[in-house]
Amino acid sequence: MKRKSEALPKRYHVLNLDTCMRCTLCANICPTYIASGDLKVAPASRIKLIKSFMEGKGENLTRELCTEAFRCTLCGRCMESCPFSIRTVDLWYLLRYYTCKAGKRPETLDSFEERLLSNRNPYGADSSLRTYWAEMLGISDPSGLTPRKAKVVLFMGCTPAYRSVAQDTLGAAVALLNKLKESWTTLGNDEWCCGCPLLMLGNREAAAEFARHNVEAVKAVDASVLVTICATCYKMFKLEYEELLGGPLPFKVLHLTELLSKYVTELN
Amino acid sequence: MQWMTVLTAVAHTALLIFVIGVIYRLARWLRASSSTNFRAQGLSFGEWVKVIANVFLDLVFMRKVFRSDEVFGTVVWLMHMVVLVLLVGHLRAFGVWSAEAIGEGPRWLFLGLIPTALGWLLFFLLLFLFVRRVRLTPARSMLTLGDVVLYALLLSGVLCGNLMRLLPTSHEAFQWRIFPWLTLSLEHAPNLAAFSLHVVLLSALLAYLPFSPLVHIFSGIVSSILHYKWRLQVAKYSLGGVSLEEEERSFT
Repeated sequence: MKRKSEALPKRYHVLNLDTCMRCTLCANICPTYIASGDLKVAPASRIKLIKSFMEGKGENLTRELCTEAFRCTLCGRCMESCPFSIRTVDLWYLLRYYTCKAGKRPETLDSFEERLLSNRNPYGADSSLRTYWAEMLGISDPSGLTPRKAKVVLFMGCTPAYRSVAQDTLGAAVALLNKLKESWTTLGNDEWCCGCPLLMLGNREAAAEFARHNVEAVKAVDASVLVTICATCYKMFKLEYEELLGGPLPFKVLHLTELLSKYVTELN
Repeated sequence: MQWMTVLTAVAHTALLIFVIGVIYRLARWLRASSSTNFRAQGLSFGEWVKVIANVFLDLVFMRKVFRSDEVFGTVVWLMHMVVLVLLVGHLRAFGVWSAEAIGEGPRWLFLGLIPTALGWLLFFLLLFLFVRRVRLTPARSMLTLGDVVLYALLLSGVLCGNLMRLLPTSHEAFQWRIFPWLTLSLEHAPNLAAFSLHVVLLSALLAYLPFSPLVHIFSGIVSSILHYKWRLQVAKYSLGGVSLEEEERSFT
């Protein structure tokens, strides 16, 4: 049975929707609306869509109309401009959730999600290649890349692991952890995507499944701290996982910069 | 007088519908699920002061509205301030405050000219806001029948209130016992047609309030408080404490 705390919408969603005065100051600041001039992409139109879903009229909405939910960049400028500080970004996530449940997402996103679910990363890359970046960087001491019992888990993240643009950062993180003689490990090929793309696709159930897996993987190595170099992964672990899993995490979550700050303080 | 009985019935019905409406809204909000907030730490007194200060700046001084659109911000702020002043002025008729402190000389100004001018200012500010709604493309796309009804009630109610001041009044005092605990007393009986319409229209507004965007009067404050509270809690949770020796929390 779904826990009351996991059910959507939340109280603040309903309160926020009722508070909206339709002043449309959000539209004035929306980069997508300003660039396209398309009313369907304005925040105000998304409010109408959410209300339709909440009133049980989602069946009457076309797939084309629901696609507008995904043209939002989730930048949050609307939230900052709202006179009542309505948490609009949370409402847009809610809309994507409804759209996903109703099966009205754009088809391209459906196929993207399929690849993400089967490969556990958004790039469709083989999950067994998750630590291949170390070989590419010629890391001489690969211990830690294979999961082992350790105090700190270095959560690699999909972009650093699979994309050359950020692999250097991972390499640097490993070098720093080794230099500091920290007890660390990665989750190796057992690391799954943090789940943020799934949340953005509106698939909360799959995002929760990924979260559950990652947390169990961290528990399996007895780590008490999870460190990430990716801001998105950090946000997911820090702010979303507890909500998705309905309970506190059994480990602390830090960004690498926070961990390094701790060491700098201690060294000083 | 029969029409006074009718007015009293209208006021009572409006209040009843208002109360039912408030209960309906609260039930709607409470029926939804609560947020999981395991990271929620209580805010200290100083942090609550920060929250309230931000809410005050946003809602009383319309900080965010001014930032987005200075003209719109000015109009909206002025409209709300005028409503506040007029509502305070109305309380005199219910005995909440007395004008005895105001000397005979300046009475015509503080009880006559200024409230009359404010009433007309309010009317034209509301009209401006309605015209903005109709003219601006995103706002027009969001316009609902409910919004039109709301503006109609507001504009017509305010207009009737203004007409009460323009149309001839009687020299006789006027009293209306709305509830056993609430009596309206006026030094001069107003034009009764304008008065009756004013009461009916604003009673309808009161009844409609919980079902209309005007619910923002209450929910806007809560929404704003929740946002600034959340921001502080996230900042505290994200940035507070980098101890690696923190005790493991159980996961259930």
